[in-house]
Amino acid sequence: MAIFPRIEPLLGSDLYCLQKRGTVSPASTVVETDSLNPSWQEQARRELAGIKSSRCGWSYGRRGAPCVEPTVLACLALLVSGNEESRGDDLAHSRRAADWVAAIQHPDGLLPISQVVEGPGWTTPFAILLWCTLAVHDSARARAVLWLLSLAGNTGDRGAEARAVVGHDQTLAGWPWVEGTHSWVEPTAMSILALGRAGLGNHPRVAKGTRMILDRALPHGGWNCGNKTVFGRELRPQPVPTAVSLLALAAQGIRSPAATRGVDYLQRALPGLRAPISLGWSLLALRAHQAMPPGADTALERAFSDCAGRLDSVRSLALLLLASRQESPSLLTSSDSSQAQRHLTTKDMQRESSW
Amino acid sequence: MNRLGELVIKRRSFLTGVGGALATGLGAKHLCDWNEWSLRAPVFVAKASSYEVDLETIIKNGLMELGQSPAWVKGKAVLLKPNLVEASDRAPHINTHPAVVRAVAEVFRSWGAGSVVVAEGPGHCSDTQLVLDESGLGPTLRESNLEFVDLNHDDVVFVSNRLRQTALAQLALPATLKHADLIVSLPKMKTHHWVGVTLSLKNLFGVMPGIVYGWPKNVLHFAGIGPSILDIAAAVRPHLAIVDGIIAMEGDGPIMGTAKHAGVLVMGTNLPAVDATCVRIMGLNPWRVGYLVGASGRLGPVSERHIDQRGEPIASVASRFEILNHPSLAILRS
Repeated sequence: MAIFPRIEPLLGSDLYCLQKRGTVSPASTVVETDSLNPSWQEQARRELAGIKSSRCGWSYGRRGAPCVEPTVLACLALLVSGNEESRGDDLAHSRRAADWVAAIQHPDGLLPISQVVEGPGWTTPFAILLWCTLAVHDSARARAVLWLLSLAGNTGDRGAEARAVVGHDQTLAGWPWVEGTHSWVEPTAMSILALGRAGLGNHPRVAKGTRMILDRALPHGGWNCGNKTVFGRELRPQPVPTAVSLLALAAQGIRSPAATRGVDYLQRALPGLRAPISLGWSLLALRAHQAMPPGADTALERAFSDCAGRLDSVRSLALLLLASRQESPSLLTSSDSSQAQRHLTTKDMQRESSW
Repeated sequence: MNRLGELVIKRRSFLTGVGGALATGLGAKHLCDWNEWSLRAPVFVAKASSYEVDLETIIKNGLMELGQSPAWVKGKAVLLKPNLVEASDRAPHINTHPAVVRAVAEVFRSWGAGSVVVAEGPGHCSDTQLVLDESGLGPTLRESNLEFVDLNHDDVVFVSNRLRQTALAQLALPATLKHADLIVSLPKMKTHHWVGVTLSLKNLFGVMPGIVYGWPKNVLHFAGIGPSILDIAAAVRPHLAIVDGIIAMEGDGPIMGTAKHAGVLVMGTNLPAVDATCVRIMGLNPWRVGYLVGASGRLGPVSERHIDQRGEPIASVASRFEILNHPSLAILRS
């Protein structure tokens, strides 16, 4: 049952098709390479390609079983940061990884953390993002999307006591990290991005998840990992939840005061930010909102020098590379919802209406 | 193997921990006191006015007062588990101070430990490096050449949940714990708006891998915070706790509370005994902390007469910690 359109590949036989979509000029896709003095991006690419934990994928560290999240981030980074010369290898790496991800998918569509740890499913949006980018594994992608649509964070008005303690709308369903628990900002934002890339950006679940994201925005800017206020105290914003929320809002084409305040928060936080994962996500979000600050390239290079060679550098290297490319936000936020709507079956429409 | 979602079968009620203590009622003290009649544990309390004093000497003396010596440590793989919750360079009292972590590491090194690693899985922030940077621990680790393991993203092993205070049949633990001969809980002394206090037992939430339990580790909230604390403690079985109570946190802990100068380090090899002593130092009643009532007799003693208090008397270091003004927490004072 093919319910999803065959999405135009972002990577195909031509130079990365982002160029065809007009999101980037051909010249800007090529990392400057000098064999005697390679750019930091080229060094990062080499290191990333060299630290695969197996033939199929990357783990969080440099040993252990490959895991879905680092594998997807590494593939997206290699694909977006490569050049003509590297394209064959990048595609080969990524297709092998995409095949491996499909191979460990559960029959119901859930993607586990790895082959070793079979739950809990929050990695499913990452798999969808990779398959959409490569335009492969249509049926696996369809199962993953249906599983994602079937998953929602626990909701319900838990009475006056709960309302007085927790400051957000507990009736809005987003996505949880783990089935059977509450909705949280990061898995909700990633699910919105994945469903959007799969052509379901207009799905009611995406709309509700977006409302949840907006509801959880901190009054003074940015997002915490989930709550807005507890016992009347506004919590502190964090870069990663803020960045993925902003990417989700960008994917939905939403401009709101919450997004503006989120961008302001990230721009305020950036000068002190050296942690590569936070820096990478933050710059991706600022790119998506056309708000890249001056000095971003220097910050990325500095963060690379901090994390190069570390045992746990896979996600760091990947996110720094992604953040360095103008076209990267498209890998997360582009969509073609009109085609998807045409391909929804009656059964899926019924599922839709139940939300 | 498990899909964690299938393990979550019990919905959390609000204010679980303190509610548990309430439900247990006044009989808890007497019942548990009897349950732990055969248990004894020493706890050492030291004054430490600031992070600039000679913490290594204080810790070394404390360990010797507890009956430990270099022979206890020699050649062993030591894992230090500080409390890093979320990043905020403007609120250093959220996290265990880097000076305490460094001092403990240096003591174990000087006593001939085979290796010393620092390991943590922050509960509210999926970017562990950010928490390390903003807490100041990252630079300290680099200066001291101490290895750090991100427990949120470590390899995972599943163990059966032996204590079964929650309905979770298994617990996912970081593989790094398996390789440690000595596990040391290094918490911050803080109030906690859900369970009353967070000390060496609650600190163990941080070993639970975020990739399995999420950020925050909401599976454990649904399973019940207090019961989860007991299950994790029984599974991990730490060997030592050293509580950073030099600058502690009162009020709306564990994140939004205010700094409180308590000027103490509290240490011991039995975690419930250490935590009960800390609660007394904080001017609160340990028999009103649900998970300490649950720990009594199962994991250690809580009753004052079963704890061999060494070093400073509690009365000489006790100071009243403010607690959040909420009816559910008022009982902590009674």
